[in-house]
Amino acid sequence: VRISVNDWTNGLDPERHDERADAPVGDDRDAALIRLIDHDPGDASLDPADGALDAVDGARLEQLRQRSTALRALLAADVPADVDVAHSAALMRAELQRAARARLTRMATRIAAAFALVLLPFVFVPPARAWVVDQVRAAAAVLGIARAADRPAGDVAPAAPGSATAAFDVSFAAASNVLTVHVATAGGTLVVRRGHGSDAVASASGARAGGLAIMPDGVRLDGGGSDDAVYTLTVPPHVRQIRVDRGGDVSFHDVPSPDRELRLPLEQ
Amino acid sequence: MDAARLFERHHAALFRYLVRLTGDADLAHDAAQEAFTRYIAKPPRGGQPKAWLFTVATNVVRAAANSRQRRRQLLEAAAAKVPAGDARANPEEELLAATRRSAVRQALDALGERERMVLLMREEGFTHREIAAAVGTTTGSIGTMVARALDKLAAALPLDAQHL
Repeated sequence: VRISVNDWTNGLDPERHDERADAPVGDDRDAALIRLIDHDPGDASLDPADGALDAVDGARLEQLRQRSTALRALLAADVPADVDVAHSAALMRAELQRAARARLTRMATRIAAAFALVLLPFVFVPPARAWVVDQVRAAAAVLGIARAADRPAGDVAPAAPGSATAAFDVSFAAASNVLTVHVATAGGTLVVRRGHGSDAVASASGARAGGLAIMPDGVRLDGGGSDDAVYTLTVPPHVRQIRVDRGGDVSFHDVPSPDRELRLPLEQ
Repeated sequence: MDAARLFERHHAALFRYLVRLTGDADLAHDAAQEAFTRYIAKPPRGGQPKAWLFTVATNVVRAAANSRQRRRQLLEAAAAKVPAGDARANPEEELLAATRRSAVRQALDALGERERMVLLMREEGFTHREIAAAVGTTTGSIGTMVARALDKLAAALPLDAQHL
């Protein structure tokens, strides 16, 4: 509950009506002299340096100054001891550190919630979902929660969300030594090469090339698939075989040596 | 300003001010802590954080239920409970200090709360402009309020004749 300072004199304490800011000023001269004592530039007309103070003002100024000093000394009797101030500070410091930590936690939770809300629509798009998962894993790896190399087969390495139907490259981790290609396209050619990197890379080219979708066990080739469409799959050295699944018709093919390539027609 | 630095810089002054304002060290501690907690939760934009802290803490004190009643009870029952001054081994000296402290508290208590706030903020080194912002009045009226408060204190406390 916040009480305005004005409430002090607007009803809470009616017997002290003399404290109203707009109350008639009892002694403007003393007020001006107090400002002078406190070095407050409120009344330039009372500058002793230019002789504006008459003898009466000067005597009163000195009296008020002495009174102020004497009262200050008396009021010092009511100042809490240093040990009490230090005790309060020690207790409060610990409490405020807890409050600051709690505030940081709340802020982090809100940011994470907002981040999750923004990313929510993308979890329904498989490549984007894989991208999001990869980003989260990368963030977790940075934070020391998980290792970036823990990605299972089918996870896409950073690639632009929504690019599944355009001509593009996607890279993904291939955990097994057998990588499956799900053929859901009507034509084109699959080219398999052995690469040197740790991730598999799939790409589609050709005027009417279909899309690529990363699957848990490999990659799926989508789209109408014209004859000139070429799907290139570069696999890491540990992948020994390509399992080609044409709607349940499965065949296995050895990955060629690095200086050669495997070409498979994709007609259903 | 960083909250930790603000705390280290202003805690002592704020606690001192609140103890003298309320006469209750526990209430002063709670009010100061509440002010710093509010600063951490939602720091004020612009302005002077020190004046903001004093204003918020003062409002907390005022909002505390029956704080005035509590202060008066403390004043009557246990003036020695108010932490003040260094511990004295001499009982006579301790008695004298307690008596002086009680007189000061009574004199402060006789002031209006606004006057007490103005006077004690002045004691903590605030400028008239800062006090006016905290109290919610004009800078010019601060001198008037200080002069009145000093008049009342001079009448209530044992000053030498030359200071009256």
